[in-house]
Amino acid sequence: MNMLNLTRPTADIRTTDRRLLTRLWRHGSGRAGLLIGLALIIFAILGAFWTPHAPDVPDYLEALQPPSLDNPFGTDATGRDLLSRTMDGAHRSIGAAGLVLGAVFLIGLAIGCLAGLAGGVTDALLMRLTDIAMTLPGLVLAFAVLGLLGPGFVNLLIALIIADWAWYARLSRSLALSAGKKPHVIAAQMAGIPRWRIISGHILPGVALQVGIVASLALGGMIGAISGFSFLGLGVQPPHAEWGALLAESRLYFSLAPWLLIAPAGLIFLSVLSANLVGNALRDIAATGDGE
Amino acid sequence: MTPVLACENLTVTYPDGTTPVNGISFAVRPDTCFALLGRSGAGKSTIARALMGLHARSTRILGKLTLGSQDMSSATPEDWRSVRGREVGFVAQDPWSTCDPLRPVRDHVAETWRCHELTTSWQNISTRLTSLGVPEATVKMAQHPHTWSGGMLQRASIAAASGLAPPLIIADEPTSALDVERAQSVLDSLRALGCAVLLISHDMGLVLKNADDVAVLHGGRIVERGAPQTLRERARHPETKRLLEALSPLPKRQKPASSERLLTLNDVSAGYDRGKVQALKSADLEIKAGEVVGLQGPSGCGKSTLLRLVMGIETPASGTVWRSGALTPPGSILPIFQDPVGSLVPHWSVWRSISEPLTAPGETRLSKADRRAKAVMAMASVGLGECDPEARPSELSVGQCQRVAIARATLKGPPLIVADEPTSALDSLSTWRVSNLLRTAAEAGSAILIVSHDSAFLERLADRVVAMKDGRTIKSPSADSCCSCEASDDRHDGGGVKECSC
Repeated sequence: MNMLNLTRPTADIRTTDRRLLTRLWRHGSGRAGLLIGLALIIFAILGAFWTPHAPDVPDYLEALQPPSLDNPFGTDATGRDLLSRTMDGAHRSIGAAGLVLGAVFLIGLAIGCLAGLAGGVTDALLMRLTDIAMTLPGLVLAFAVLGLLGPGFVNLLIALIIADWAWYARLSRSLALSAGKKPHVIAAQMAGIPRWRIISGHILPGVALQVGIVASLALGGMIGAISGFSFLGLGVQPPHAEWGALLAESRLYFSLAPWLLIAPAGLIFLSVLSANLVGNALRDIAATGDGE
Repeated sequence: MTPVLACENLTVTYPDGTTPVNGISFAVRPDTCFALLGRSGAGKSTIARALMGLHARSTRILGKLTLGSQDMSSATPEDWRSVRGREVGFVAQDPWSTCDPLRPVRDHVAETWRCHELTTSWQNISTRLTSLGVPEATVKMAQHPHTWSGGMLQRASIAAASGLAPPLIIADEPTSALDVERAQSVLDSLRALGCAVLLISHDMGLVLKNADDVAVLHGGRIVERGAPQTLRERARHPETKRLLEALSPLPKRQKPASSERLLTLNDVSAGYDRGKVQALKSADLEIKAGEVVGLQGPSGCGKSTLLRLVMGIETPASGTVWRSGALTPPGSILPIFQDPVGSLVPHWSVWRSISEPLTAPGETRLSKADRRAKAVMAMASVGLGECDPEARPSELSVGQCQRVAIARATLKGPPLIVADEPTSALDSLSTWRVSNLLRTAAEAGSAILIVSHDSAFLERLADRVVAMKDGRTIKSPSADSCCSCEASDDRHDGGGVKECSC
């Protein structure tokens, strides 16, 4: 006695590919961001194994040469090929920023979700801990950690992780709290689905995507922060190259050799651009994916 | 008689190349109500904007448009400004979003005069509001929009639209924010003005009752037109028939509810904020196996709290909850929610959401393929047979999402289904479909508790309706369908017009 006409075609259903990468690729700015990012990653991987000239060996006769066929980005004050140095520095700049963000993303997600979903004393303790971490300015905290551990690239990464995780924990907690009240979570509870499966299937993926978007948008700032510490001599130690350190060096010779600025600044710009484009595309995809 | 509005071959093309309105022609005669009827996406609102000259310059509008005796086909923005309010008034869908929350209601009405550099008196506005059925207009018009009820504020919008006595008022879904009784009384006020009305709506029932002439829109074209009576009796186009479906009565109950008790709530109370707010003061409820019980009352009366007690998410502060043995295993009470999109996991395919109850511990283990097959069958039974089971909720319409949610709730045939305002986000056709599906679920043996403020929906579907007010259930004299008059007295409408269907 069902009055519905079951054979009637329903409204036009779009069949789209649901894989995240494919959807990013279909998204205009997402594709641009992916392409730039891919190029930079190839540049960084290549630079870690091969450079046209030795990146760390000075050649004072060739100091401050303008761009030429042999030195497409010119040479620095000690005659080192700038292309080789940016290639060599790429994996430190991009890799380090990615590593720090990946770590704060995971730590923040774990602590935030634990606090938001466990509630009670666990929540109170973890959140007071994040409160303490957040009351100390990030830079000051990083300096303090570096002061304890001593300067060095690995120590810099540790310092930055300690300075930054609390933000992501806070964000994850509030997202997990609101996700836990969504009707689909209540529906799963009523259906008798165990709690760990609700958390892993319903709550975590959505929270991770949102926190991931925020983390991807922070990549630019992170490259800048690493550069800043390297500039102060607290991060990458000479003679190793790093984009921020290269930028800092170029400042000294700006009037003599302005081209020194272009390569590191351009590469930092491109990586920030790429991260922001991908982050924006992710945000668009997440927005339609949530039906909001 | 010259029509107050005539458009010939109206075509609207957006800058991205889409053409939501494609070559439509119609005329509105003086003092009649002409209705444009169609589902969402049919091009209704695009037409309304074109008729008011509200499209951006980059939107291409072709065709001939005549308002009264003026040809508006090549009108400049200045021409349009002089026409709006004088020649054509506009009543929008959501009265709250058209009013500035920082200014009193009377300012919004006075705007009609002010923007034509005319003056009017508060006395005049108050008289107009009173004649439209706003009680104590002199006092109330000095208040801000949020203190008004939707029905009353929509009357103020009508007062603003009709201020300069335009021969035509365009009303774009003027009642979709209101329940059925209020909707009709607002439309009555609109018709009582004595000007021509262009009514734009998706609601077949409303249109048939109020319009003199109807044009059915589908895909940006008029597919059928005629008098309401003709359309009702001799609809030809499939789209008209589909919209008429929403008016057909539900099938009669085949299987009456049994006398076996499923759940009893006895004098329960509950509060939140550590007992500071008492949402529920004293409620009694009994649900029998296979029975459809409606729970009706104004917002804030404790309906949702009562529902959470039934679901077992909350425990009562006092009183007793008795559940029969059938309701003790997990998964025996399944919910349907007000927000259909939010009730599905956004990153899951719809079949996975539907079959989730089958994966609960204690269920017989099924392979993924089996679960998918069951979900696909369930989708077919809710009329989504053509829908891709891999689709994500964001790819479906709101009405389709609600049907997916019903498929999930009914898949296992649980003893009790609780539905919290299941149709408040849906248009009339989807509401009808959802009622039908819930009826089918009841026939299959599930008891259903439905919370709604839509009395027409409840009366059509429920075996009996329990009214609530101020955290108390109002005792109904018998188990027959009965709606308490007090229940439809919305608290926003402080002493407003009594609007009740009883």
